[in-house]
Amino acid sequence: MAESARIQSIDVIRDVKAALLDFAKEAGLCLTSVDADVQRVGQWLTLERPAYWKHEVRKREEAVEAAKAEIRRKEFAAYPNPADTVLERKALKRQKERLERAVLKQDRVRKWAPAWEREGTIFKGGCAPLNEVLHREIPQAIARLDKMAESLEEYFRMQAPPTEGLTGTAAATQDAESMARGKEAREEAALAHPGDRYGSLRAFVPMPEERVLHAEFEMPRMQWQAGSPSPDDTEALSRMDLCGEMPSMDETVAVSWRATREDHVFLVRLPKVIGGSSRDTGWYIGPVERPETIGGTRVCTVGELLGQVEGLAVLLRFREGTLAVLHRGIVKTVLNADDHDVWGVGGSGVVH
Amino acid sequence: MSAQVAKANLIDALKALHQRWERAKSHWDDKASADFERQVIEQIEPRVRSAIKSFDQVTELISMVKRECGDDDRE
Repeated sequence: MAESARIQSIDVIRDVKAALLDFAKEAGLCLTSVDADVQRVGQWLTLERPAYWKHEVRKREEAVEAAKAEIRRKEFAAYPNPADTVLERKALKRQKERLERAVLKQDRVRKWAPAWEREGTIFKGGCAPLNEVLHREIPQAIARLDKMAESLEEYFRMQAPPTEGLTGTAAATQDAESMARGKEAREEAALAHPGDRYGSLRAFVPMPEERVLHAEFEMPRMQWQAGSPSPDDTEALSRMDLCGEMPSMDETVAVSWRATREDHVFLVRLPKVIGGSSRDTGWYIGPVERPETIGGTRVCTVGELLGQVEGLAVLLRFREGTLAVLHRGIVKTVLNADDHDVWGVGGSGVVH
Repeated sequence: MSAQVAKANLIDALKALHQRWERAKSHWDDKASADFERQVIEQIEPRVRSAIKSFDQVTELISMVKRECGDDDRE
């Protein structure tokens, strides 16, 4: 049996979403900043440094020439005596060493410029998994959390006690009475011609894409009011021609949130939605009263559904086109694909 | 922001995410939260580690390049 969702509030989902967004923002800044550093060093190596060292080599060559000229000048001045050029020769040696270092640096820059491009690529490769998290996985996780929050919101809304009281104004009371009379009349008509009334429920099923969006959180505990067929009815239903094979436990069923707490529901098996990761059985469960107000759709697995309402298993075996109506454990009708009632006539033999 | 500052900030961001996730887990404890943790939260740390390793390498390289190509004997 599927475990119920244990989440105390939608705010938890929102907090997780905010935490992911904050992380993505900060991590994005860090990546951008280091990437900018790498780019800056690349430009420094390819643009600024070559020009700098070219200029510096020329300047130091000139300094070497100037030091040599100073020695010559002193030698001329002292001629024919030998000149004391110890200091000048030391200066020349120092300028030559500075020139050598500049030439060496020029070589280093020439070596590093293309190598830095490779290092930049390696750096990007090392950060690619985090970039993937920031630009693909976190947005996907956010979308997943949004979907969860939406479904939970709908679920909590449906769980909330009804707020539309019938007490208050006379008009409201009259409306309620009128609704009750209308309901009785519809039920009488339904008893006489189940296909006429219940067949129209086929029009109130969600679009195919809504019937296959499997929720991310587990099926919460339903307040299932519609019951399940009695053992006798289950026996009779299982002998009907419409009864086929049981769907797999991991195939899916779409359930209207309202149907999970209404006492009068219909189960209709539509053509399966095929494609993508769909494991659709084609089954949809909706409310008989105000069937147009679905209150959101929950897609759950057969296993999750039967984990909570085991007795529905016999109905899930019915073939495509079947529509069954269940009211507080009583099978009101089973319609075949042509909307012929096969329950009252060919099923239990008892019109409920 | 230098690569070392970025590294420190990234580690802090990961720690903050983990703390907030732990807090959330105390209010959301079911298979869906376990799946989310395994599929999303736990996937982040190894990627952050990989990025931090790259930050360290790049920091070292930048120092080396500056040392080798910079001018340390200006007059």
